Formats: sequence, C-alpha cells, structure tokens
Amino acid sequence: MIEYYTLSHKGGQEEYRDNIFMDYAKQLTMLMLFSSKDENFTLANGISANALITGSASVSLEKLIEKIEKEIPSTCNYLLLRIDDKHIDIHRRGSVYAKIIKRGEIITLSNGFHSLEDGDQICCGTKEFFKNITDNALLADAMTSISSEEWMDYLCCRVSEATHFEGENLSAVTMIVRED
Amino acid sequence: MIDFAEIPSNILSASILGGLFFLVSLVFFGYVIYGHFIKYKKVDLNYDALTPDVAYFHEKGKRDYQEDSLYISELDDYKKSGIVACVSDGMGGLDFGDEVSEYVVDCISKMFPLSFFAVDENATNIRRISESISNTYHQKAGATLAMVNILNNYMTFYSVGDSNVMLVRKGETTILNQKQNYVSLLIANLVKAGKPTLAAYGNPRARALTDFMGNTVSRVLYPSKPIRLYDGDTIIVCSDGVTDVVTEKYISQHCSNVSAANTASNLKLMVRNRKNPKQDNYTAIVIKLGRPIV
Repeated sequence: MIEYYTLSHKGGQEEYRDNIFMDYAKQLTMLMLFSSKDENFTLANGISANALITGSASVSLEKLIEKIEKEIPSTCNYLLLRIDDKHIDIHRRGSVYAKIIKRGEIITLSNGFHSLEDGDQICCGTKEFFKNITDNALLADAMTSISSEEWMDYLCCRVSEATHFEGENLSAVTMIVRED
Repeated sequence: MIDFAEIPSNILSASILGGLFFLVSLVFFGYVIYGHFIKYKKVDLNYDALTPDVAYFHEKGKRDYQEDSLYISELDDYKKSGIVACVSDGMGGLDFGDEVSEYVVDCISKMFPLSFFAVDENATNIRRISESISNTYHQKAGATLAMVNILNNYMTFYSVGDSNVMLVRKGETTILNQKQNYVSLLIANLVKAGKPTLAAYGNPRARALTDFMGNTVSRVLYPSKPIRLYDGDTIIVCSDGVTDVVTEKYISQHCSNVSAANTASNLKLMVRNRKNPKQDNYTAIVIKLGRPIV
C-alpha cells in the first residue's frame, strides 16, 4: 500500500496552474506537471493529460509517456511515476524531482525502475517546492514523522519560514511505502 | 598396475602440467580467501570513527534567573558509549522553570549510557520523565528538551518543545527537529486552506508550546533511523534564546572550521552583539566532528 499526501498551493499567485493527476488502482500512477512555469501550456493540455492518467492502470508506462508527450508542450517539465509497495517506475523531464529516503539516506531518483521496501519514503515536487528545503531537512522530517500528512506539514513549516507561501505555485506529494 | 613407460610421453607431460596448474590455482585461491577473511577480521568498527570536539555556553541574557540547563556526558568512554548532550529550557510564564529543566537534564544524565539503537525505548523513558514532572507539578511547570546521542559516525536526536538540534554541513545549517508550538499548527491549517501563512506568526499565542516536558502525554520527536555523520559536521544543541536572534544563515557563516570552542565563542558573541533588551536565557552545546590528526 502507498500512503500519500498531496500539496497543491497557489502561493502568492492568482491561481494554481501546476497540475497533479492520479490514478489509484493496484498501482498508483501519478503525473505532476510543472505547468505554472510554462507559457505554452493550456487548459486543454491539462484536460487531455488528466484523461490519459484516469484509468491508465492497464497502459504500460512507456506507452503513457509517448501519449503524454504528444498531449503536452515539449517545453513543459513533468514527472510521471507508477508505484506499488515493491517497485517504483519513474520518468521525469526537467525541474520536477522525486527524492527517496531509504535506510536513513536520501537519494534523488533517476529515470527508471527502482525496488522499494516497507518504510521507504518518497517526496515528489517541483523545483519551486524544493527550493527552500535542504536534503538534510527533508531527511530529518521524513524520519521524525509518522504519516505522509505529518511529513508534508513539517515541510510546509520550512517553506513557510522562507516564503510564507507568497511565492510561486507549490506542488508536492509525500509517499510512504507500507507493506499490507 | 599402470606402467608409466607405456603412456605416451606427451600425455604424461600434459597430465603433470595440468596437475601443477591445479595445485597453483588451489594455493592462489586459498591465499585470496584467507586474505579476504584476515582483512575483515582486522576491521575495527571504531577505527574510522569521528572524534567529537565539544564546547558550550550558558548565559542568563537579560533575565533575572537562569532557567536553561544542560548536560554533556563524559567522553572517557566515547568509543563505546558515545556522547549524549542535551539542553532543557524552563518554560517562561510558568513557575519552577529552573527546577524542571534541572530535573530533566538530571534524569537524562542518569540514563547515560543510552542504548543507541533502542530509540523507541529511549523515547518512552523520556516520556516517563515528562509524566513524572506532570504528576509533581500538575502542568503548572514545564521545560523543553533537545538532545543528541552520537555514537561513532551516527546520530539520533530527541526533542520535546521548541529547543533546537542543528546540523551544520558544508556551510549549510539545518534545524533538524520541528518545533512543537502553536504556530506550526496554524501554518498547517492555513496551507490546507490554500492561504498564505504570514498571519500565523502574528498570532499572540503563536509561540505557545503544544508539547513540553511536564505535559501529561508528551510526543517525543525522534528519527526512526540514525543519521549518518561526516567529517567536518557540526551539531549544535541550543535553546530558543539563540535561534530567536541568530538566523541559520548567520550560523553557517560563523561556524568555525577550527574548533568547537571557536564556533561557540562566535555564536555567543553574535547573540550578545544583538543587544536584545529582552534577551532570553541562551545556551548552546557545539559538537564538531572530525578525524584526529595522528
């Protein structure tokens, strides 16, 4: 089982223009679009991307990447992942990252297939979100929190200290792998 | 019986060569295996351990009383027992702040040496200290606790309230423990409502503690796994009298590469030079980790 918590905050902007789409079947498929920083991105692109993710459990990640890249502008940074309690398959382009806390160490996940175990914690977010959170802070908060929501609350306190949530759009997801 | 004279000489020499090759391989393989085990036998877990250099300051500021207390374990048996360092800050506005903070560090000193990996058990013991304070003072007195336990190249920490455990690594300072105060709750609620968070800091109760030593059921914050430490890391355990007036950026700039005493001295001067007319008690323990020059 994947326990997750999502942050989508408009910051000091007029509207929230990033996008996070999820499909929760046997595996969790998530697409995070850093669209607030892309002038070419339109509402129609978002609707198409959402339609692709919804009910996408039977579609392979490679096929999904192909389809998504056709639907969104080539300038738009994104992160697509599929995760269950054993593995994570990840594909990202540009300034959207996923960091994993595994056995007390923090690593930025590269594109590809990675194995997971009970208790692993993953934080996905845009560059704007990670700007004010050091890896040491991310690690300490992950290891002292007892749920994905509490972890996100801790991270939000750090962002708040730096910007009071008055900057750019902020998008992030915290995940904890829980063995059933 | 085999008559070796009847075996063609080329087959005989090939067999002898093969046998020799087998023997040489066997000896070589044995040597590799033996060397491997000898190498691992020789590894001393403490051989590469970082050595702590410790300094502290403990000042009253502009207050009439010293309500901070601190404890640093003896370093005689550092390689085996590690080091425990803690700061407890008696809660202002409540009575007996000094008594309670002293009691907290006294109890921690009695816990030394701690079982490094038994973090849950240690947290339970800390919770028991809190309960005993609660039973004595009935929530009319309290204190914070920020504590680190370092063994070899790893650290765990325990925190209740709003004192700080900081890690200075490669010129970057990070407060590792979250503050258990009302402003943290307000921030979480405002973020969930999609609002900016500046208003949270202006709340008159923003700094009120939501958890402290002396609370009936205290939540002890601690990492589930030890944190790896590296050569050159500095750990600072301090009361909020330090972090209220000195930012993390300033600490990074004034953290010395020379010694813990130098960093402690810089930090103390930084606080003093702020000349805050309401300066709270300020206490810090600085632990600089490095490899000794042999």
